Amino acid sequence: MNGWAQDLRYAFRVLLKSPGFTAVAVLSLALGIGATTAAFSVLNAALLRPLPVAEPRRLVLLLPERRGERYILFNPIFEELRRRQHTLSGMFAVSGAPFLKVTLAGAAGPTYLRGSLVSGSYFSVLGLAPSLGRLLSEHDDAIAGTPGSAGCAAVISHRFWIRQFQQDPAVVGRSLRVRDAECTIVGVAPAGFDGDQAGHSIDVWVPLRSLTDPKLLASHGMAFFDGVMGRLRPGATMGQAEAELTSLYRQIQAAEPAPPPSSGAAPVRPDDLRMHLASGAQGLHAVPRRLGEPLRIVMAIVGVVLLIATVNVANLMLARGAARIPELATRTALGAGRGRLVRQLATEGGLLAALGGLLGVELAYLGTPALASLLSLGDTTFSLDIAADGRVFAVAIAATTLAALLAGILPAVRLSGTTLQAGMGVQQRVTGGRHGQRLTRVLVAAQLSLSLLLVTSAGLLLRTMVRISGIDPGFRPAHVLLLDVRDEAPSGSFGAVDPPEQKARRAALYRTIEERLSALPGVESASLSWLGLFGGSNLWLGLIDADQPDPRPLARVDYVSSRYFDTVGMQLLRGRGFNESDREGTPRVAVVNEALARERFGGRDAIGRRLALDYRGEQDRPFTVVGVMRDSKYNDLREDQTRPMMWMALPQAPFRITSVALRVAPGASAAVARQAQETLASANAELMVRRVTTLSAQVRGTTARERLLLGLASGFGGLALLLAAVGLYGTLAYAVTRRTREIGVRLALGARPATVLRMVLAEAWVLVAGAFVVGLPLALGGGYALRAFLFGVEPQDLMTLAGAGAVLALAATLAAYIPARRAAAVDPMTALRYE
Amino acid sequence: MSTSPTAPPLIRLENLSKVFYTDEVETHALAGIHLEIQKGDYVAIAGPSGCGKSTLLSILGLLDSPTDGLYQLNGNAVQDLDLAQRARIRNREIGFIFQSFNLIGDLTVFENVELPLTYRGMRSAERRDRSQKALERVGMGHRAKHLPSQLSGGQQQRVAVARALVGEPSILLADEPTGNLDSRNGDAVMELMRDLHRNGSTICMVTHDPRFARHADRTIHLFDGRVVDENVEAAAGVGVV
Repeated sequence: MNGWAQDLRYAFRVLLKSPGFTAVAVLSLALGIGATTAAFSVLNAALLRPLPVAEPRRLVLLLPERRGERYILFNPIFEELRRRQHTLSGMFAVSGAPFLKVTLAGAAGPTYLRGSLVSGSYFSVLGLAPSLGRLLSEHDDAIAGTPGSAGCAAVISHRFWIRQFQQDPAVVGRSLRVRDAECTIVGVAPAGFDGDQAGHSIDVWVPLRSLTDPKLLASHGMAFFDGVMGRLRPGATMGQAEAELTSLYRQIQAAEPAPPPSSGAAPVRPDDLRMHLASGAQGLHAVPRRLGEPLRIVMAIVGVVLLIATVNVANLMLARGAARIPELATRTALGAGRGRLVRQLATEGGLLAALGGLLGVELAYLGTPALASLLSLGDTTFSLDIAADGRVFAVAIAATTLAALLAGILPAVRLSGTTLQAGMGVQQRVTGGRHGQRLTRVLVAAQLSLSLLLVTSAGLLLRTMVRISGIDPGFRPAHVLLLDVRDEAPSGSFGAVDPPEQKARRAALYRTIEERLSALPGVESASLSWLGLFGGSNLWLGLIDADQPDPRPLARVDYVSSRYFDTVGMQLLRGRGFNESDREGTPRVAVVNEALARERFGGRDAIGRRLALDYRGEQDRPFTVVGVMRDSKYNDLREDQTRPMMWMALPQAPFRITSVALRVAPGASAAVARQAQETLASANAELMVRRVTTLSAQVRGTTARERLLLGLASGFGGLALLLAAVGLYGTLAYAVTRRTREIGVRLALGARPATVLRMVLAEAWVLVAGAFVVGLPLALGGGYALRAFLFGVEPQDLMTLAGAGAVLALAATLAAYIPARRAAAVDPMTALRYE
Repeated sequence: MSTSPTAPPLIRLENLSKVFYTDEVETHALAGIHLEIQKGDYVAIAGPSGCGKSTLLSILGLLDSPTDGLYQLNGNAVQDLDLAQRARIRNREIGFIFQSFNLIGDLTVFENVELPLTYRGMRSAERRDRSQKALERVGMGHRAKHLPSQLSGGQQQRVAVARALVGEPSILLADEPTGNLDSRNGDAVMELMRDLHRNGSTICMVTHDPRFARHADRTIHLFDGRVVDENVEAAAGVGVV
């Protein structure tokens, strides 16, 4: 023990004696360990942390599949499965409502809360107990107004209880209006439980059956579940449950009525179905589906950075340690065995790693929120609980241990071996050379190879973004403000057609809103639409050509107000757009895109053609095509081809709008956004704004994952390159110092300084060439791993590889230049100086 | 072996001095040196440690510049040349033999010898031919592919001599060439240098060992940076200083 303490004291003294070296080494390790810990913290929070419920490992996700592909589960089948199965102690369904309209008692008007519509068994299956009152139960599944119903019950989260009600115990029994239903708060969920998905904190849970239209509950064609989960009975295995549920799923499907022939849908063969079960310990699968791949890539990137940082420190230790060979030789001469020397040197490396680990954890603590925020990909409702837990500390310790092993043990073993030879007093009659430097060169080449991987990855993503940014969307997204709105006015039952008077009222309201918005200062053009651009909607309807009823090809459709095309900046090719005269009662008109005109009418002009929607009540009410718009992107700039699309005049079919677009003068966005929200609120309190954004942001949002990875790959790639350059600099600087006499001899023999400069630079280039050869398969593998995020560039793109190689060579040249200059400036008289 | 006294000297130093400046001290390493070396001479520079022998040799070898005075090599003033010009002259006119041999550990014997010709930009075939001949001349042709670490000290110094010879320089500058050798190997190297001299090489050798200085035709004694004495041997190797 005394020896260890002595080693530790000595290690402290040695490190303090070289503050520059110590600072670089500790910072390198801290960056590597910090980046790894931060990335793992986010990955842990998003993918690994179990739900804070009883025995989370017994929870299972029910993932229906048809022919091996993900499939949908309709409520009647879910209900039947739940009733007949025996291997699960309970099952529940969840339908998330990130914007749930809620009117709190005493509030001026409705507001949006983060809600979740769940089966009554939700809390009991999760094994949760209330903080206050009671939680939902299966009795709450009774549809309001039906026998046995005690009305709509609501459970609020502990966090919401604190935020909204300051933990008032009298909250139980208070009423609140959820959508159009009067509900009562029956209890508060336990503290720490914020929902069944990481990152999505819920304010209020209400019974799914109370808040869902009975027709939708009974539908065999409309799905609305976000997920279904269950809990294995004691003794039951996942395999048994999967076998039972699959069997029941097929039996239930076999008894399902066949779809009507008019639907065009192929009947579902029971044998094609399977109920796949996966662990539900971490909750629903939406987060892993969205973030799993980017997070795994980020983890791989920071892992590479950690490796580079650690190798870098090992290299610096080796280079610096060589200068201590006389000291170590003396220790050997005084009787220190090799093991003792290894221990002493390893203690120094271990101390560096420990200091790096401590600083790294601190950096991770500071950087994790920023990384988590980046990974939210612009979703403001997404907020991960990134508090460190045992797993995070385990990873930080593992990263530190790896650093200690590589940066401590490796140089220690190597140097102690060298020392034994030096200690034997071998006389040096030859000068310089690269003896003993092979390992450091291999390590530098390894760093450069790993850097090539990151630089190539960043290059591929950069080229992807360049390609995407060069795509013409077919409209002008700049200076267009978007309001994501919902018309929350009470609606009729599911599938019912709005009565004419309601349509007329709505048309009048929308006209008024459009006029008021158009009159706002700074607004150049205002429009309303049912769906809008880049909103993620993907609705297709069959079109019936009045002159040729069959076939009925599918097309995207939207209902837009008269100034829509001007507002979003679409280009009219032929005919006209909509105008003020296109109102209810006037001939129904439509505008189509080039793709529809081309595919539906071939070379003939589409203007004047009559198209009806293949939809109940619409088949015999055709729209006359009055204009053809230039093709444009709809949901993603990377769409390979434009799909047929038809726009109809909103006043002639006033569907509930979801989007308001405003073309504004440069610099006026903030003021217009505020005024527009006030205008909507004053026009109709039921027209609620979910969020305000811009069309540009909406377009950018579709490449958020690519931009995130580009940012991280570039940032960490740059860091990796910097670390590798520091490693190369250290190695070459040490080599030049070690070879000063040899260089002096070369100069004495007539080498010019420029020759020596080139000689040292050439060493760096040889390392780069070696690193390129070794790193090429890594870089190709990296490109392959990124293929899902690439656009317009192949994973093995030669130009990117060449560019990455050039970046590497440039960095290496810059790193080698100072040692090379120093070598060129060696005084040739050193050749005459004796050892 | 000296040329006619009327021929211009190969090396001419006039009132040469070298002063080293440090923060507080000014050290006169050489002062008022006058020296002429004719083509074919074998000159030894002797003197105690710190007398300026190595400083003089480094100036003769264009590794260092004098503070003052004239240095002519083959009739051309060389004391004010820039680094590249000095490197070129070193490469073509001067051959170095170092006390520590200074062979480069990573290069084979052949590559070590070939090195000065490489810096000269000579074609590969000619380099090969001349390097092989130089090695044969010092009796090391059979060890061309070995690494320096595989040779004895005497063999390493022979290789170093071959390297000095290969460029056919005007003068060989030897800095204590036997300093790291045992007496048997030291004698062998001195014999080799005598052979070179007999065959026309001009040699200037620094030594502090009078026994080896006797091998030269002339011995110049330095003390405190000044020439204090000069002996000329009638027959090399038999004179007494």
